[in-house]
Amino acid sequence: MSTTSANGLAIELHGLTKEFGNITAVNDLSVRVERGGVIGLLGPNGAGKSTTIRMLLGLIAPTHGSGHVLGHDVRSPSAYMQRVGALVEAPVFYPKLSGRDNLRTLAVLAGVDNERIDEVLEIVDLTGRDTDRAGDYSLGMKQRLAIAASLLKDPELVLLDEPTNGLDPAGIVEIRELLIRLGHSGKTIIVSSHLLAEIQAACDRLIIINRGSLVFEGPTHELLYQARNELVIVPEYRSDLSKLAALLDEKDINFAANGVGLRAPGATAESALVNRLAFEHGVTLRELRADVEDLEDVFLRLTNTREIN
Amino acid sequence: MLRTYKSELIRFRKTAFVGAGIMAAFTALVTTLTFVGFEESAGPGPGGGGRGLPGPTDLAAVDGLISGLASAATMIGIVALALFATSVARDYERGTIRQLLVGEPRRALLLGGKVLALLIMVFAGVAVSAVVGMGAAFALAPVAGISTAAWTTTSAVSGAIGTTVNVMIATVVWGFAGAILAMVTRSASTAITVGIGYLLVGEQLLTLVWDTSSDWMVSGTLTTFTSGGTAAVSYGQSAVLLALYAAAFVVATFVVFQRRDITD
Repeated sequence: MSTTSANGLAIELHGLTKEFGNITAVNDLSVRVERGGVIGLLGPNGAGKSTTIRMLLGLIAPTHGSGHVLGHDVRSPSAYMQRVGALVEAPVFYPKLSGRDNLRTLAVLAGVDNERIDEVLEIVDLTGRDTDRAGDYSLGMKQRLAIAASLLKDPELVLLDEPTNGLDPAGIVEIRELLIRLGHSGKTIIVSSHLLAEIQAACDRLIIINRGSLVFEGPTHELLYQARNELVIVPEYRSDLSKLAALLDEKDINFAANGVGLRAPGATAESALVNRLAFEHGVTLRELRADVEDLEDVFLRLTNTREIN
Repeated sequence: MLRTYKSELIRFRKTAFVGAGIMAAFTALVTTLTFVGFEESAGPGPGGGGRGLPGPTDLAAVDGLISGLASAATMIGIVALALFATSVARDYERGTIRQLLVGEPRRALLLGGKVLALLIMVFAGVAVSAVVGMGAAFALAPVAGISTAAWTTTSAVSGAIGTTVNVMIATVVWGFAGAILAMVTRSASTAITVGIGYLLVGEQLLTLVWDTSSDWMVSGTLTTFTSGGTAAVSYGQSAVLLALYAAAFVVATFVVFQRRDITD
């Protein structure tokens, strides 16, 4: 196996598998992540997100398969980790040391100078509290300190596991804006989170895994394009159902009847037309609405059915 | 490795000072008990000392100057075992091992820097303890009526240096034992309990059923080495055995760390 890959991908995995005894945490995962932008890593609890991130960081050795991070073999993390920053699961620090000293331990370890500590503290807005003991920080401040730690090396690739955990709404918005800003600066940011609305707002692309396997990989809008989009039409009187069905047939609108009403897939844009037709033919509608899945609905559907994109 | 060493010093500085302080306090306490309580302990042993404790004749001899440190060697070793175990296991218990490995993915260097910092801390702690022990001996000798004439000779100084170096080496082996136990158990309290339990109690029980085992088992070898050898095992033999134990502990610690998945 080659130790480097010449392509410009941030991450490239081929059949990556991790087994813990009889349990397969990550199963034959193949994915390619282009450089730059914010990428969401989604999956239910136990899907294999953290195990995947740990394999990318060299904390866990893959059982099978191959992978490259920034062009280097995932089994040789020392070749690329100087260009990678990470927050793995909960933010953890030495509670008796100040926030600044916690960063200093990591900066010294990574060969980063003190000026960079000031820069990352400013980025996460902790400058005024940097000399307080990390043990006295709120969870939100710990999250921000952890993000600061992940940025110390000014990395090309940043892996953040649940960076908005425990943050209040204002803190979540701050982190979201920070991630978008970092993504626009040319860095590749991979974020795992359970807050799907946040992922939808911040991420250009998504990777969804379930039970250790890839379910979806691609642009966020592409996933949302797959979202169910139906027009729900329910007449006031059930006796009007057949008349309504004939009107939709005339306009070549596909539908399915369910006894009380009709559901027309992909016809949400035709709601005005349907309303007008019904009115012109004396049919009163009790319900006319668009039934559109959001990211959460699509995520739940995909992770239950394991459809591969 | 220098970077990991410096990083460890920032994190472990306060604990190291406390550890060195405890070592010195134990030495001062043991020295005080030796000088103040030697009459109670005096018995049939050479020099008047009973149950292994030095008597007045021993204390007035050239080795009397450093007798406190020699007697406190086991206590100092226990402190070192606890310090090494705490330093190694603490990062697993807190989860900071993940951050450290993101900063320095070369595991051998990360552990090497930690061990280097701990070694320097142990050497400093034992050196301070030696100074404290000798200071206490000089202060207490007039009170106990012990002559200090022999303590200012060249042989007394070289003897003190030799004993200090022996205690340093033995203390490091105690520390290495703590490190491998902590690496395997990933728990400081478990490692300390198992380590102290085995070395102080377990081996004594084994000696009861296999009386020659103390000649070559870890705790017995540590005692033999710090006391300069016994009739059954020479100082040189105990040094070789101790070096083998140290090497085994260190290699095992590095191998386990190198191969382990960081799942905590």
